[in-house]
Amino acid sequence: MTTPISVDRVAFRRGAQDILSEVSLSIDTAEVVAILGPSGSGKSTLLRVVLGLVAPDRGLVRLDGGVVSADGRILRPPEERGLAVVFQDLALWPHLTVRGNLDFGLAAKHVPADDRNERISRVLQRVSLHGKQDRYPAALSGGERQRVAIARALVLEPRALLLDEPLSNLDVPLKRELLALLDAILHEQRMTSVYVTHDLREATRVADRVAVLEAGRISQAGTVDELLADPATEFVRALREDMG
Amino acid sequence: MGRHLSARLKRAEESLALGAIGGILVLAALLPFVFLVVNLLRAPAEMSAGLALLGSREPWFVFLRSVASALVVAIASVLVGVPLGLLLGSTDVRGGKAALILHAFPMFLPPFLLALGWFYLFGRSGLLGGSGQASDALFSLGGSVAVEALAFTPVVTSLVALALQGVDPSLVEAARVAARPGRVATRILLPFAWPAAALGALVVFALSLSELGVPMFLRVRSYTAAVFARLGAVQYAPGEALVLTLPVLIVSVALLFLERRLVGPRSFSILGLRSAETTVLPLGKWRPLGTIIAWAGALATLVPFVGLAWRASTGFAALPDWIGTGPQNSIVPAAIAATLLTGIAVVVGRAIALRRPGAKALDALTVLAFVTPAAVLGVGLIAVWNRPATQPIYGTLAIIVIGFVARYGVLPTRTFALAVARASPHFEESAAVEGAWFLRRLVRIVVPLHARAILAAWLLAFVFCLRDLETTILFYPAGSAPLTVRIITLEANGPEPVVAALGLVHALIVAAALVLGAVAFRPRKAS
Repeated sequence: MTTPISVDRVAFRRGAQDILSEVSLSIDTAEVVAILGPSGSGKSTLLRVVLGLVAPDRGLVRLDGGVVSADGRILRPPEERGLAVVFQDLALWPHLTVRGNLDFGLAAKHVPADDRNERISRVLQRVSLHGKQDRYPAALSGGERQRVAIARALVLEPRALLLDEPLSNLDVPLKRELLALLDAILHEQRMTSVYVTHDLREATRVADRVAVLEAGRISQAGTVDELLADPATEFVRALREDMG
Repeated sequence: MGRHLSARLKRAEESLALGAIGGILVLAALLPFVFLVVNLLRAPAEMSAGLALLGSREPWFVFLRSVASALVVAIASVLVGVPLGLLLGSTDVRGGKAALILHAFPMFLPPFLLALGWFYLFGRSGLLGGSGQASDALFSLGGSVAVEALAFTPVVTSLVALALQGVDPSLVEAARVAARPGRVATRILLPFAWPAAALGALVVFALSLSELGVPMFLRVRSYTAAVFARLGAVQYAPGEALVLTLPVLIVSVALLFLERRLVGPRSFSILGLRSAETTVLPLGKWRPLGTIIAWAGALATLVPFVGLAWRASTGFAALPDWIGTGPQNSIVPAAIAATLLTGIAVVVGRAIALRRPGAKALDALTVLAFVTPAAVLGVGLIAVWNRPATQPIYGTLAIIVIGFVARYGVLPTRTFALAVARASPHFEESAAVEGAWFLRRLVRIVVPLHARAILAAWLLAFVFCLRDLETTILFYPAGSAPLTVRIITLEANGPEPVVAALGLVHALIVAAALVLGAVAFRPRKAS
């Protein structure tokens, strides 16, 4: 069986700096993997490599077994990868309503109109935004915008969902509420996901497995319990102490 | 097979669009330079005559004098514009915003209109003339330099003020905790302003070297006028004109090099990545004096309008007899060119901001076309388009549109690039991940997201096309003279009050465009 996402010995340089070095990682079907690491460790770059927004200088990226990026080349552009993403800044298109935001990707994929409406209604219901489909992002609260961003990604029914620190700027109660929602949705929909974060608590809540990325290298990988039981680096040790 | 082809086309959409737009820019802006060189090489007799001319002392004297006076204009603009930009852009002088707007307005007018205004004030029969000394001073190299410096200083002031408004307020606040406002201004703000001042100096130098109307009107010999004269009926020698453009071309390449080295990489921060909040430096007890100095500096550029208004007071009645189709010949090509330029700017500006392959070269081409004196570009455009097969273009307003597209591409392109660079790249990346190809993203995401920047780009292109004299005067079709050309030709032999009134009409058209733009730019409430 092929894995939905596989990254094999990926390296990426910016100028003279190595951002990613020999990073290898596989994500199984319906698995939620958290990429955990300090700021500047290359987490977001790894996500961008998987999305096809940048090409790795060396190494391979495979989706469902097919090579999509290899050694400095993007063989399948982001438009053809069938992925979805939630960025840290959400990137909701301010000139489109909630419905417009959700409809955009479906229309691009030529999903029939009836089907689109049905899928949009269903997803909005799931993220508790029913009745707000005609609002613009500026007229929504912070939590509602977060839900729209999640809904926009889910409505595409992607082969995998990539989340780049989606909850990093939220207050604690809202973060807790949205983590619960995300955890429920990702697992009930058996959505293969990559969740980038620097917060071990978030990773503990949503992820089945954690890969720790430090200075562009994966320093440790395993379940949260395995990490906490035997921290391989100072960073993981500090996270464990922080967790109490 | 068809599906495969369609997929390949979709993948290539962005490259094809950039290639097509690049082709238009190359056709409009690069081909003239190529033809200049090719035509010279293909006409050895003309080239040797031209080279013989360049071998004499006279053209080099005029050339060096023109370069030196452009340098003095640039230095004067920086010396006045930087402190004024600092006062108007980052201190609490009263009415600073209004003063900046009024001060900047003449920047959008052809400088010779301001020269006319000074003449109606200080000429022998002017409002404040009489002794003849002021008139003699005006009709001299010094007078020409002073008029141009006052006309172009707002370029530096505006760039510096915009750059300072983009400085992160926390940097200023951190400095204010430790130092007095004066020290904050000189040690913190001015270092942020210098790239803007450098860009301003380059732009002013290029505009001054290109300037044709002011030296022509003030009877000062300039290199641009020398090239222009060789394309006129009296002294027609196109070969000599071609050769004469070569030294200017070298200066243009040097300017392009300087722009790349000094400001190119920083142009986005210079052009005002305006933060939502700005910090205002309090002048304290110096506020009244600061206000007086700022307003005096700002209003100095508006003084010529007093002269224009005074002289025009008796000229408006006769205006219908003289105005002809001038406004129409100005507005129509300017609007068409601005629209084309904005379309180009959306594709190229986005590519520059996102550092797409080839975008840097197109950016360099637009900069080169802008900093190259218009006479060079004009001679090149004539060489490309003045042939029997292309008369439907060369003989109509279309050639003016091409001239504008060739010369002013950099203004809307950089404006749009700035807007894209300011926005989160995730807006478009999200759309790409969702499966939207380039054209769909452009139409559905990029254009609506940056609608205000598109309007700003259009407006900037439009007013610069309106103010143009030096490009179009070389090749405007017979009977289709734009208003600027009509004013300067009438100035030689038409009634002064009518010429002044025409100048005011031109200023009013530009003001109306800017006011309409300002209305469209009013902050909107979030829906």
